[in-house]
Amino acid sequence: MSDTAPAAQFPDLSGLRVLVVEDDDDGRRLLIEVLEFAGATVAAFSTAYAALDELNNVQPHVIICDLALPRLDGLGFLEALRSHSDPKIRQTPMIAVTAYSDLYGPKELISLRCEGYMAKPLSLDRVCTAVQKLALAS
Amino acid sequence: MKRRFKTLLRMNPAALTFAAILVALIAFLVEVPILDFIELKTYDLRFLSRGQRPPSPAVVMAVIDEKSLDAEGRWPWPRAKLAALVDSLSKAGARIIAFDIGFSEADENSQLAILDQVSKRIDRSKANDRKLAEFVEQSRQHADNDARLAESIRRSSAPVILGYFFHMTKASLNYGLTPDELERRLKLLAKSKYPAVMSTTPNLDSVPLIKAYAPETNLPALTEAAKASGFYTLRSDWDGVLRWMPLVIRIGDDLFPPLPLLAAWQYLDRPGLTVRIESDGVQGVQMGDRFIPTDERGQLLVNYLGPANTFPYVSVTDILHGNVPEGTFKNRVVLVGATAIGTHDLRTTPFGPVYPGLEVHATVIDNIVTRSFMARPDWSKAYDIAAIVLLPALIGIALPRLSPLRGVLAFVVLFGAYILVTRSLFVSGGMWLNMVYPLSALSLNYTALTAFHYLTEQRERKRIKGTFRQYVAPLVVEEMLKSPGGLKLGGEEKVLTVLFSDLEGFTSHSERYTPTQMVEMLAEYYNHVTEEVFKHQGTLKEYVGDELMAIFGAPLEHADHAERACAAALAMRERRLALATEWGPSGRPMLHARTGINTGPMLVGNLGSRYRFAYGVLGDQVNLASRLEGLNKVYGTDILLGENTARVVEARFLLREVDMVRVKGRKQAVRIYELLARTGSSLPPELEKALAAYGQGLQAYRQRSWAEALELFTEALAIRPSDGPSRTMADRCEGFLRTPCPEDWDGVFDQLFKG
Repeated sequence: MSDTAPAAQFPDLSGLRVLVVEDDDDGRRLLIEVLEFAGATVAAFSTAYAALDELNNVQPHVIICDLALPRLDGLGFLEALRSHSDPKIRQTPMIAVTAYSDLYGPKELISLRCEGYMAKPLSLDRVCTAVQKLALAS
Repeated sequence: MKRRFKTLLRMNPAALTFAAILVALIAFLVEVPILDFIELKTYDLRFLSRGQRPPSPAVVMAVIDEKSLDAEGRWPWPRAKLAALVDSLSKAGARIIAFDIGFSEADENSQLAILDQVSKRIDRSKANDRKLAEFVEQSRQHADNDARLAESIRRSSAPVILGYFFHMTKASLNYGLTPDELERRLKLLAKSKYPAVMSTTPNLDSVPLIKAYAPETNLPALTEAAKASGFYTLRSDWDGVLRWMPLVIRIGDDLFPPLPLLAAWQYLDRPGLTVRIESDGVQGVQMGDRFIPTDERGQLLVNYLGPANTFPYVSVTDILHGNVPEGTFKNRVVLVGATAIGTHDLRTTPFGPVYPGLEVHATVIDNIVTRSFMARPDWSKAYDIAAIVLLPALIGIALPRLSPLRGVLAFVVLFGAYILVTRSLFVSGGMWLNMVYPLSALSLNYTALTAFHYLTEQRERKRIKGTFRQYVAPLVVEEMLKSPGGLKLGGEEKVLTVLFSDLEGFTSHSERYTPTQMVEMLAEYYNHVTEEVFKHQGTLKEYVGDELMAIFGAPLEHADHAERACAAALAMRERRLALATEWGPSGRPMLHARTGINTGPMLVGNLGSRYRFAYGVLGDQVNLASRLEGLNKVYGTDILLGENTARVVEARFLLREVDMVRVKGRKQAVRIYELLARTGSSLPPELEKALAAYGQGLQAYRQRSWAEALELFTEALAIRPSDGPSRTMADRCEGFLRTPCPEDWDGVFDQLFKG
């Protein structure tokens, strides 16, 4: 595999604010690490409620949210996000992340305007590419 | 060795910290010479960093310096000169006169010797001249300088204290004294012993007192004339620096005080004077309400005020000739002694190597009078041990929680703070607390933990790198390795097929439709195509915007994952076309999709992890699939397959070899194929004809027969005007006809930009 040159292709997320909601400590840490490595500013939370409280302060460009969260799950978070009082925040693109791809179909996610979906195991460079793509599109 | 190395790696930071503290404590208790030596030097440095302090007016030194020797002749002088000095000082109102000079032998006076010879001659000549005999006797008395000095001492209005020294061992004296002689000498010092000893231990032998063999006392006439005698014996540390003044020296059951202590005692009008001894050693000397702290051997730390000549001094020759301002000696302790280099009484002190012994005595007098003592407090040992435990413990707790840079910072801050604390206790509290052992313990633990961290990290690094370098961008690996504790990695390599599909130009419609409409269209489209993915047992891996990615062969294993992917791609195309027909009347846009499929070994996640996280990209073959999706744009195709997939499915699907491509980020060229239909399905006749022409054209193209190839591609286009690959290749041939290709052209198309 010596014929790859991935370093040059790694997405540059400088200047982007990304909000991460992930209850698994390792997973959250990993996302923070790779997003910060790509240059993004990351605000990470382990519960959807904590993330909702901070939406106004963070003003993220992109949100990455696990679907299987305790109490308020990712779909609940997405609904709350899409009915947020601030129209700018309401439009924030979101990537849903799940280890249970069989539980969450893309249809309801898309109808709730969830722009991205990724099944775990995540591939980290693709997470960054997705963030870049959605940030550019919005 | 290897096993020991492994044992080290099995250790943890807490165990290392514990070991470091243990080593430091043992070193502290057995007293490692090099560390003790450094501690002494830090003690000296504390003096230097504290700086000079002004002396009290209690002491002035009358010095036999170079100037005095030049004016009065070489030392020792006839004692008549010293008699005159005592007279002058007494007249000048000195409070106390203390001699840092010994008078143990009779004055060597040449006049007296001549008189003796004259007297013998007279005796031998039997000349009975009474007058002559009387003259000789008178002259003899006049020439007896010792008697003159004794007389001056007796007459002096200021009490005179003489100095003497001790022979510490029989060996240092070189010969044994008779018991009578020893007793005679001790008797001379009878009024110069400590008057009282307060001891909680009945047996003095259990106290580590400094013992002397014999005193070298002064001439009896002088000793009896003086108020008292104090020893001026000084003892340097083993590194040659004078830091302590013994306040108590023992011979038999008698304890003797030193010259400066007696001088101070006289100066303070002789308050109660008691040596305080407890079972663990001497505590100190109580002088009235003053307590002079000592170590267990009865030594006082000399609290030096500054370098040589910090105390005021006057040349003896100036005193003898009356060249001293009035009041110089009034009410002060006058210390008389030699400071000239030839007199060999120069010592090394914390402030420097050339310091007169005389000034050490002056310093001790000053220390006692001003009560500014330097000492190791009773609790100093407990403090030292606490610091030896605490400092490495703190760094041991902090280091694993900090980044390497902050770790260095924490170490430097702890190191500096401890130095500042001990220094300030020294400067303002007059306390000598151990600096070297706690700091060594701290440094030892810091070094051990850093080395340990480095070794374990190296090992972990090697392991992670070995497994994941193949799949993960090297920079990402580096970044992951930096994370504290490392990440639990693991994964499995499998041969899979991956499918990328992108709605071409979908976002460009966003100007014509509302966001809600866009979402509805996308949702409906995704609903249809993902249904096909699931129908073919694929897994929807991700979608972002209008692009989706599906994998076939995992998590459920299917040997025919490549065929399933191709079948799904064709079905997805069907659904899209059906949707377009359905949407047409409602004014919705015609959707165009590009699909790339590739097969190869890929990393599929982390089987060990609860949450199934994969720590990296899926691999090179996945990237290739994504590139193929983009290449559709170049060739005007719908579905492109990589070489690996094509080889597996060519029996069941109709394919067209399109080109050889070197995609961006890959060195190896790959053949790419267009997926047309299932084998057995009937193709439109014009397509079949076009495909035949295209195949011939491709052959000609690879042989650099541009004109022939162009003709064939144009022919294919004529048969099937919508044939994307033919148009692309025809354009390329025209280009080569205009500008010839490079010599080393290998028939491969270089994709320079990501599709």
